[in-house]
Amino acid sequence: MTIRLWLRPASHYTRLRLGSLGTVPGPVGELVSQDLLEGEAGTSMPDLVLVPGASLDGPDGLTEPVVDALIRCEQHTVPTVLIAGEPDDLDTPVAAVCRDVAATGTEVIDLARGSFGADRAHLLPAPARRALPGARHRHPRTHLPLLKVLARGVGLVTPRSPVASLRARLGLAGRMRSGAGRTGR
Amino acid sequence: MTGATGEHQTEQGPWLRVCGSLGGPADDRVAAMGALLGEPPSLIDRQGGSVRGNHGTPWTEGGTEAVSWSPSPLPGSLPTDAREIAERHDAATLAVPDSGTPYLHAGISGAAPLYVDTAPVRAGSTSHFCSHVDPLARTRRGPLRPDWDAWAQIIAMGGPLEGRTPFEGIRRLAPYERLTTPAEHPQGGIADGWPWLEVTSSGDATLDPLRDALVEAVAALGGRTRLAPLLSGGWDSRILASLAAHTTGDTTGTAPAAWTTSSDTGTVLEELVAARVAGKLGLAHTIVAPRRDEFARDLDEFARAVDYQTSFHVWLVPLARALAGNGRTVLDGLGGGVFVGGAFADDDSDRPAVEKRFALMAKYLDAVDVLLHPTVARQIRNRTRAAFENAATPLADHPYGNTFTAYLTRTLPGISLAPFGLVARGNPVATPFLADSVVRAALAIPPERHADGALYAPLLRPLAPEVAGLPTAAETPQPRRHHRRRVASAEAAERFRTLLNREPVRGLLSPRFATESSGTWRWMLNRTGYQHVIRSVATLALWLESYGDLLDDTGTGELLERAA
Repeated sequence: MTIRLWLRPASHYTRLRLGSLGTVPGPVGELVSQDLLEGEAGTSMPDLVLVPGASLDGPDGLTEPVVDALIRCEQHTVPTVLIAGEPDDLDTPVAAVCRDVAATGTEVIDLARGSFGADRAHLLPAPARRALPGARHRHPRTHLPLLKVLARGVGLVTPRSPVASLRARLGLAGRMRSGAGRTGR
Repeated sequence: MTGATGEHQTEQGPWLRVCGSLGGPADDRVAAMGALLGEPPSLIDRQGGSVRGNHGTPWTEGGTEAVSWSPSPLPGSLPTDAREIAERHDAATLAVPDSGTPYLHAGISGAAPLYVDTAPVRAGSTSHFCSHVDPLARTRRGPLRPDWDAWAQIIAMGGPLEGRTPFEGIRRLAPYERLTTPAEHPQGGIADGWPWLEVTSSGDATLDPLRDALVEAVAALGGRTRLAPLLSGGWDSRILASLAAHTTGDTTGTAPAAWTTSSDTGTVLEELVAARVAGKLGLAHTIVAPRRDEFARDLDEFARAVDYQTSFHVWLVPLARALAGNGRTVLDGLGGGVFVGGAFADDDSDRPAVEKRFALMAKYLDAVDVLLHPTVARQIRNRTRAAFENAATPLADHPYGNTFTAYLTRTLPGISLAPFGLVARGNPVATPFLADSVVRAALAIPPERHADGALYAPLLRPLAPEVAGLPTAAETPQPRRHHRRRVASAEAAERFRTLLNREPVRGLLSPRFATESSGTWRWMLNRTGYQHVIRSVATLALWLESYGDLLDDTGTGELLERAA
């Protein structure tokens, strides 16, 4: 799924399948089609998993079902994004094992940038007031800004050129231009 | 005969702070080191030697007065023989007889560091020792110079070989070394009569003695202190956590608690598997997440804590800080991989043993060739190879030669400083896999039965069947690592670029690498070999910054083959 997204127009973000660990409130929750805590272990995995923070009634401890679901995410290279509602959500055991964090509040995001790093903390925009052009697929077209922030934030889709995207996927991004990154000299 | 007379303790600074003199009474240098260590009390002061320490157990035997100490809590009663104390409790001892030669005796594992200044080489002069390098360096009366051999080995292998430290003339005692004259330097860092080299294996050996020894080691600790096992996604920490969970002898009745953090070389599966194991064992479990905006502080703190001798475990700093001062004895799995897990096994090639072991232990040399100036890379390779051969050649034909080579050239110089340099600042630390009885029982089992960690599951199954069958993080299939570790973050890359672009360290780098973009540095930091070299050179930069005013020569000319 993600491979086919590299070179596609932005409207195809709406193809992404989002899962969660529990119920995610707010507009971002409307993107979720699969709850990993309720599904069978053998079912197909989504492209991205949202993990609601403790203040949003999400898991605050690493119980066995939560750990099992997170291990499945790791085994399938599925990024996990903590949806933080309050600053305390950043300090739970679950937060410690999520790859990225997203929130609608600037105070929470400012704090998250310190602990998670600027590249792993994403401010979620509000949905657009009217539907944006593009194919509908799974998600409301008003939610494209949310999808872009999430997908770009975790690196599923990059805003770079197709060549840069291809280099990143092949593990070549960042390699020294001089060729000095090659070993075996 | 008089046994132990009770342990002296004061609380300030590192959990264990010891310094003293050998061959003479306490002098102004001992006083100066004591001041740097927070004024620990005098435990012994005789004509032949002195000790100041915040933890130490004095004992006497005939006309001999002695003090023993360890980073692990010692029992109230000790034997009255330094060798027996070294074997049974892995503790160090200074013994001063009424007549005869005073001596300093290291613990049997040598994992808890004890440093001595070898500068006063004339006969009859006083030598000085300390649990940390820094007080020895700051109070030295003669010239203070970098040991560039040590730095070459820190960069190539992760720690200085043959007991070297970053300072010329200050060295670490070898395991079981009995020091009377500091000028005597054990060849290859192997002390005469080290008992572990004498253990023979037998095809009839079973796992039972090994299991019993581990149970006894952890139960004895649990009987006199509260326990905090470090728990990763691997076998060694799982075994210790299982033993701690089943320990009932805690003096306070407080349940053990397991602690985990995010490493810079593993994946998030480490934390997740640790959580799964802690849950099955019913252990309270804390995961300490490192903060990106504190990377620079943590790097600096780690370097100081380990006296700039390694950069292996910078990621452990947030966990050590969270644990500090809670009074628990931290259980660390040091030594489990080499003595039980069969780590660093020889490959099947026909190359000479020393050759293939060097290739395995000095694996970062490939990254050295890429990132550093060609002249520097050549110097590092040559200086590392020469010292490695001193340590590895006497072990080439030993049945456990690969194990002891790894222990002496990686575990001791580098890895041991995470528990005994960093964590030991805030807590007592114990490493049950290095207990004498455990090592002897492990070495009694033939090497081939250790291969690929084959002993772990059957060792653990009778103790904790609920976790013996769970896959470790390394055994959990994962197609690709995608969790971004802190050491490869933009914050870390910027810190490393700043440190490595300072003179004189900048001159050691490959000119191409020095000017690469931040993105390239992050790409490099995400690869273990490059990351190691960058971390190590950054440690050198921090060391030069910290001791620049004291060093007689802060140039890096020797590594660049320029006249100093």
